[in-house]
Amino acid sequence: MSDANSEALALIEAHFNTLETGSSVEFDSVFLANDVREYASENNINWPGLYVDQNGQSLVIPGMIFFRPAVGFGLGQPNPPLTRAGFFTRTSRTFSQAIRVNEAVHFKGQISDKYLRRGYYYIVVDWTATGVDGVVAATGREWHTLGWARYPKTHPKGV
Amino acid sequence: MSETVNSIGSEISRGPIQGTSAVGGSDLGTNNRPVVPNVFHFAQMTELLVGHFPQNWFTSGQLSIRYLKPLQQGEELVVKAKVVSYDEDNADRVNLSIWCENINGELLATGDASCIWTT
Repeated sequence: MSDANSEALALIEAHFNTLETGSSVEFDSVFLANDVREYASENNINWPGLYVDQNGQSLVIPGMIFFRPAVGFGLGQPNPPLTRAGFFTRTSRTFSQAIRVNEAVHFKGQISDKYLRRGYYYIVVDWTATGVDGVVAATGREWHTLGWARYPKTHPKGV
Repeated sequence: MSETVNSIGSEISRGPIQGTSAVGGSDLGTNNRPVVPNVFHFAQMTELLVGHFPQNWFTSGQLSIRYLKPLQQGEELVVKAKVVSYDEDNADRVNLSIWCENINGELLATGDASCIWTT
Protein backbone atom coordinates (compact mmCIF):
# COMPACT_ATOMS: atom_id res chain seq x y z
CA MET A 1 0.00 0.00 0.00
CA SER A 2 1.34 3.43 -0.87
CA ASP A 3 1.95 6.00 1.85
CA ALA A 4 -0.81 8.20 0.41
CA ASN A 5 -3.27 5.32 0.47
CA SER A 6 -2.30 4.37 4.04
CA GLU A 7 -2.60 7.96 5.19
CA ALA A 8 -5.99 8.33 3.55
CA LEU A 9 -7.22 5.05 4.98
CA ALA A 10 -6.26 6.07 8.49
CA LEU A 11 -8.29 9.26 8.15
CA ILE A 12 -11.21 7.44 6.57
CA GLU A 13 -11.23 4.73 9.23
CA ALA A 14 -11.16 7.33 12.01
CA HIS A 15 -14.05 9.18 10.38
CA PHE A 16 -15.99 5.97 9.78
CA ASN A 17 -15.72 5.11 13.46
CA THR A 18 -17.34 8.42 14.42
CA LEU A 19 -20.40 7.76 12.25
CA GLU A 20 -23.23 5.93 13.96
CA THR A 21 -26.08 4.12 12.28
CA GLY A 22 -29.26 6.02 13.04
CA SER A 23 -27.53 9.34 13.46
CA SER A 24 -28.92 12.18 11.43
CA VAL A 25 -28.22 15.67 10.22
CA GLU A 26 -30.56 18.46 9.21
CA PHE A 27 -29.72 21.70 7.47
CA ASP A 28 -31.01 24.24 4.99
CA SER A 29 -29.40 24.93 1.69
CA VAL A 30 -30.02 27.11 -1.34
CA PHE A 31 -28.97 26.14 -4.83
CA LEU A 32 -27.66 29.26 -6.50
CA ALA A 33 -27.56 29.63 -10.27
CA ASN A 34 -23.77 29.46 -10.21
CA ASP A 35 -23.88 26.16 -8.29
CA VAL A 36 -26.19 24.60 -10.84
CA ARG A 37 -24.25 26.07 -13.75
CA GLU A 38 -21.04 24.58 -12.39
CA TYR A 39 -22.62 21.16 -11.92
CA ALA A 40 -24.09 21.35 -15.43
CA SER A 41 -20.74 22.28 -16.90
CA GLU A 42 -18.90 19.47 -15.09
CA ASN A 43 -21.47 16.94 -16.21
CA ASN A 44 -21.94 18.07 -19.79
CA ILE A 45 -25.55 19.15 -19.28
CA ASN A 46 -27.19 21.99 -21.18
CA TRP A 47 -28.67 24.15 -18.44
CA PRO A 48 -31.21 25.61 -18.04
CA GLY A 49 -32.25 23.94 -21.31
CA LEU A 50 -34.91 21.42 -20.28
CA TYR A 51 -34.74 22.46 -16.65
CA VAL A 52 -37.35 25.21 -16.54
CA ASP A 53 -40.89 25.21 -15.20
CA GLN A 54 -44.02 26.39 -17.02
CA ASN A 55 -43.30 29.95 -15.90
CA GLY A 56 -39.80 29.88 -17.31
CA GLN A 57 -38.11 29.67 -13.91
CA SER A 58 -34.87 27.72 -13.84
CA LEU A 59 -34.94 24.42 -11.97
CA VAL A 60 -32.23 22.62 -10.06
CA ILE A 61 -30.95 19.59 -11.96
CA PRO A 62 -32.40 16.64 -10.03
CA GLY A 63 -29.14 14.71 -9.95
CA MET A 64 -27.38 17.34 -7.88
CA ILE A 65 -29.97 17.55 -5.11
CA PHE A 66 -28.42 14.89 -2.89
CA PHE A 67 -24.87 15.18 -4.13
CA ARG A 68 -23.64 17.88 -1.79
CA PRO A 69 -25.51 16.55 1.27
CA ALA A 70 -24.01 13.12 0.71
CA VAL A 71 -20.58 14.65 0.55
CA GLY A 72 -21.38 16.24 3.90
CA PHE A 73 -21.21 12.84 5.53
CA GLY A 74 -17.89 12.22 3.84
CA LEU A 75 -14.61 13.73 4.71
CA GLY A 76 -14.83 16.90 2.68
CA GLN A 77 -12.24 19.63 2.90
CA PRO A 78 -9.62 20.33 4.08
CA ASN A 79 -8.50 16.71 4.15
CA PRO A 80 -6.03 15.49 1.55
CA PRO A 81 -7.61 14.89 -1.87
CA LEU A 82 -7.47 11.13 -1.50
CA THR A 83 -9.71 11.22 1.53
CA ARG A 84 -12.40 13.47 0.17
CA ALA A 85 -15.89 12.06 -0.15
CA GLY A 86 -15.91 8.81 -2.01
CA PHE A 87 -17.84 7.52 -4.93
CA PHE A 88 -21.46 6.54 -5.19
CA THR A 89 -21.98 2.85 -5.76
CA ARG A 90 -25.75 2.90 -5.78
CA THR A 91 -28.45 5.57 -5.83
CA SER A 92 -32.22 5.47 -5.52
CA ARG A 93 -34.16 8.71 -5.83
CA THR A 94 -37.80 9.75 -6.10
CA PHE A 95 -38.79 13.23 -7.22
CA SER A 96 -42.15 14.70 -6.33
CA GLN A 97 -41.72 18.43 -6.69
CA ALA A 98 -39.33 20.59 -8.70
CA ILE A 99 -36.78 22.67 -6.81
CA ARG A 100 -36.25 26.12 -8.21
CA VAL A 101 -32.98 27.97 -8.26
CA ASN A 102 -32.54 30.30 -5.27
CA GLU A 103 -35.22 28.49 -3.22
CA ALA A 104 -34.34 27.18 0.22
CA VAL A 105 -34.37 23.42 0.66
CA HIS A 106 -34.43 21.65 3.99
CA PHE A 107 -32.38 18.46 4.04
CA LYS A 108 -32.60 15.64 6.50
CA GLY A 109 -30.24 12.70 6.23
CA GLN A 110 -29.98 9.61 8.38
CA ILE A 111 -27.34 6.91 8.23
CA SER A 112 -29.21 3.66 7.74
CA ASP A 113 -26.16 1.42 7.44
CA LYS A 114 -22.36 1.42 7.49
CA TYR A 115 -19.95 -1.34 6.64
CA LEU A 116 -16.56 -2.35 5.31
CA ARG A 117 -16.76 -4.33 2.09
CA ARG A 118 -14.00 -5.37 -0.28
CA GLY A 119 -11.64 -2.93 1.33
CA TYR A 120 -13.87 0.13 1.13
CA TYR A 121 -15.70 1.86 3.96
CA TYR A 122 -19.33 2.48 3.01
CA ILE A 123 -22.23 4.39 4.44
CA VAL A 124 -25.87 4.29 3.35
CA VAL A 125 -27.84 7.47 3.90
CA ASP A 126 -31.56 8.12 3.55
CA TRP A 127 -32.28 11.68 2.48
CA THR A 128 -35.34 13.86 2.36
CA ALA A 129 -35.40 17.25 0.66
CA THR A 130 -38.30 19.49 1.61
CA GLY A 131 -39.20 22.63 -0.30
CA VAL A 132 -40.10 26.07 1.00
CA ASP A 133 -43.78 25.15 1.09
CA GLY A 134 -43.11 22.27 3.47
CA VAL A 135 -43.81 19.67 0.81
CA VAL A 136 -41.30 16.88 0.25
CA ALA A 137 -39.58 17.51 -3.06
CA ALA A 138 -37.39 14.42 -3.23
CA THR A 139 -36.32 11.41 -1.25
CA GLY A 140 -33.29 9.30 -1.83
CA ARG A 141 -31.09 6.51 -0.56
CA GLU A 142 -27.41 6.86 -1.36
CA TRP A 143 -24.75 4.19 -1.01
CA HIS A 144 -21.27 5.62 -1.12
CA THR A 145 -17.75 5.00 -0.01
CA LEU A 146 -15.81 7.26 2.29
CA GLY A 147 -12.96 8.36 0.12
CA TRP A 148 -11.18 6.60 -2.70
CA ALA A 149 -8.65 4.77 -0.63
CA ARG A 150 -9.17 1.09 0.09
CA TYR A 151 -7.44 -1.88 1.63
CA PRO A 152 -5.72 -4.10 -0.91
CA LYS A 153 -7.22 -7.49 -1.65
CA THR A 154 -4.32 -9.14 0.12
CA HIS A 155 -5.19 -7.38 3.38
CA PRO A 156 -7.66 -9.10 5.75
CA LYS A 157 -9.91 -6.03 5.52
CA GLY A 158 -9.63 -5.98 1.74
CA VAL A 159 -11.47 -9.21 1.09
CA MET B 1 -46.30 12.53 -24.91
CA SER B 2 -47.94 9.96 -27.12
CA GLU B 3 -48.71 6.39 -26.20
CA THR B 4 -46.55 5.29 -29.13
CA VAL B 5 -43.31 6.58 -27.65
CA ASN B 6 -44.11 4.85 -24.37
CA SER B 7 -45.26 1.55 -25.79
CA ILE B 8 -43.67 -1.50 -24.23
CA GLY B 9 -40.40 -2.30 -25.94
CA SER B 10 -39.76 1.21 -27.25
CA GLU B 11 -36.24 2.51 -26.67
CA ILE B 12 -34.69 5.92 -26.20
CA SER B 13 -31.03 6.84 -26.05
CA ARG B 14 -28.62 9.72 -25.62
CA GLY B 15 -25.02 10.07 -26.60
CA PRO B 16 -22.24 9.42 -27.01
CA ILE B 17 -21.27 12.11 -24.50
CA GLN B 18 -17.69 12.62 -23.44
CA GLY B 19 -16.92 12.54 -19.75
CA THR B 20 -14.53 15.38 -19.10
CA SER B 21 -14.74 15.92 -15.35
CA ALA B 22 -12.41 13.84 -13.25
CA VAL B 23 -11.44 13.01 -9.72
CA GLY B 24 -8.19 11.55 -8.55
CA GLY B 25 -8.44 7.88 -7.88
CA SER B 26 -6.31 5.97 -5.44
CA ASP B 27 -3.60 3.73 -6.80
CA LEU B 28 -5.55 0.71 -5.61
CA GLY B 29 -9.04 1.81 -6.55
CA THR B 30 -8.51 3.06 -10.06
CA ASN B 31 -4.91 2.24 -10.95
CA ASN B 32 -4.16 5.92 -10.49
CA ARG B 33 -6.09 6.83 -13.62
CA PRO B 34 -8.48 9.75 -13.37
CA VAL B 35 -12.06 8.64 -13.68
CA VAL B 36 -15.30 10.51 -14.18
CA PRO B 37 -17.41 10.66 -10.99
CA ASN B 38 -20.48 8.43 -11.06
CA VAL B 39 -22.70 11.48 -10.71
CA PHE B 40 -21.97 12.01 -14.40
CA HIS B 41 -23.84 8.78 -15.22
CA PHE B 42 -26.82 9.91 -13.16
CA ALA B 43 -26.79 13.36 -14.75
CA GLN B 44 -26.82 11.89 -18.24
CA MET B 45 -29.61 9.46 -17.37
CA THR B 46 -31.60 12.37 -15.97
CA GLU B 47 -31.02 14.40 -19.12
CA LEU B 48 -32.42 11.55 -21.19
CA LEU B 49 -35.45 11.11 -18.92
CA VAL B 50 -36.21 14.83 -18.62
CA GLY B 51 -36.08 15.03 -22.39
CA HIS B 52 -38.56 12.18 -22.64
CA PHE B 53 -40.93 13.04 -19.80
CA PRO B 54 -40.39 16.86 -19.53
CA GLN B 55 -42.15 18.39 -16.53
CA ASN B 56 -43.49 15.05 -15.31
CA TRP B 57 -39.98 13.94 -14.40
CA PHE B 58 -39.69 16.64 -11.73
CA THR B 59 -42.93 15.62 -10.05
CA SER B 60 -43.09 11.85 -10.49
CA GLY B 61 -39.69 10.57 -11.65
CA GLN B 62 -38.05 7.63 -9.92
CA LEU B 63 -34.55 6.40 -10.71
CA SER B 64 -32.54 3.66 -9.03
CA ILE B 65 -29.05 2.96 -10.30
CA ARG B 66 -26.17 0.62 -9.54
CA TYR B 67 -22.81 1.88 -10.70
CA LEU B 68 -20.77 -0.98 -12.06
CA LYS B 69 -17.70 0.47 -13.69
CA PRO B 70 -16.16 3.94 -13.82
CA LEU B 71 -15.90 5.95 -17.00
CA GLN B 72 -12.35 6.99 -17.76
CA GLN B 73 -11.73 10.68 -18.27
CA GLY B 74 -12.19 11.50 -21.96
CA GLU B 75 -14.10 8.30 -22.62
CA GLU B 76 -17.59 8.50 -24.12
CA LEU B 77 -20.79 7.24 -22.58
CA VAL B 78 -24.13 6.30 -24.12
CA VAL B 79 -27.35 6.18 -22.10
CA LYS B 80 -30.15 3.84 -23.19
CA ALA B 81 -33.58 3.11 -21.77
CA LYS B 82 -36.35 0.74 -22.71
CA VAL B 83 -39.99 0.78 -21.70
CA VAL B 84 -40.67 -2.52 -19.97
CA SER B 85 -44.14 -2.21 -18.45
CA TYR B 86 -46.92 -0.01 -17.23
CA ASP B 87 -47.37 0.20 -13.50
CA GLU B 88 -49.83 -2.36 -12.17
CA ASP B 89 -51.48 0.16 -9.88
CA ASN B 90 -51.31 3.14 -12.17
CA ALA B 91 -51.40 2.67 -15.92
CA ASP B 92 -50.29 6.29 -16.34
CA ARG B 93 -46.91 5.34 -14.86
CA VAL B 94 -44.45 3.70 -17.18
CA ASN B 95 -41.51 1.56 -16.02
CA LEU B 96 -38.21 1.50 -17.85
CA SER B 97 -34.93 -0.30 -17.60
CA ILE B 98 -32.05 2.11 -18.05
CA TRP B 99 -28.34 1.66 -18.47
CA CYS B 100 -25.08 3.33 -19.50
CA GLU B 101 -22.44 1.84 -21.76
CA ASN B 102 -19.07 3.05 -22.91
CA ILE B 103 -18.38 3.10 -26.64
CA ASN B 104 -17.12 -0.47 -26.45
CA GLY B 105 -20.51 -1.59 -25.21
CA GLU B 106 -19.27 -2.30 -21.68
CA LEU B 107 -21.97 -1.79 -19.07
CA LEU B 108 -21.12 1.07 -16.68
CA ALA B 109 -24.37 1.45 -14.75
CA THR B 110 -27.76 -0.17 -14.75
CA GLY B 111 -31.07 0.45 -13.08
CA ASP B 112 -34.77 1.13 -13.22
CA ALA B 113 -36.74 4.27 -13.84
CA SER B 114 -40.40 5.15 -13.83
CA CYS B 115 -42.51 8.22 -14.44
CA ILE B 116 -46.05 9.37 -15.10
CA TRP B 117 -46.19 9.71 -18.87
CA THR B 118 -49.59 11.28 -19.47
CA THR B 119 -49.88 15.04 -19.77
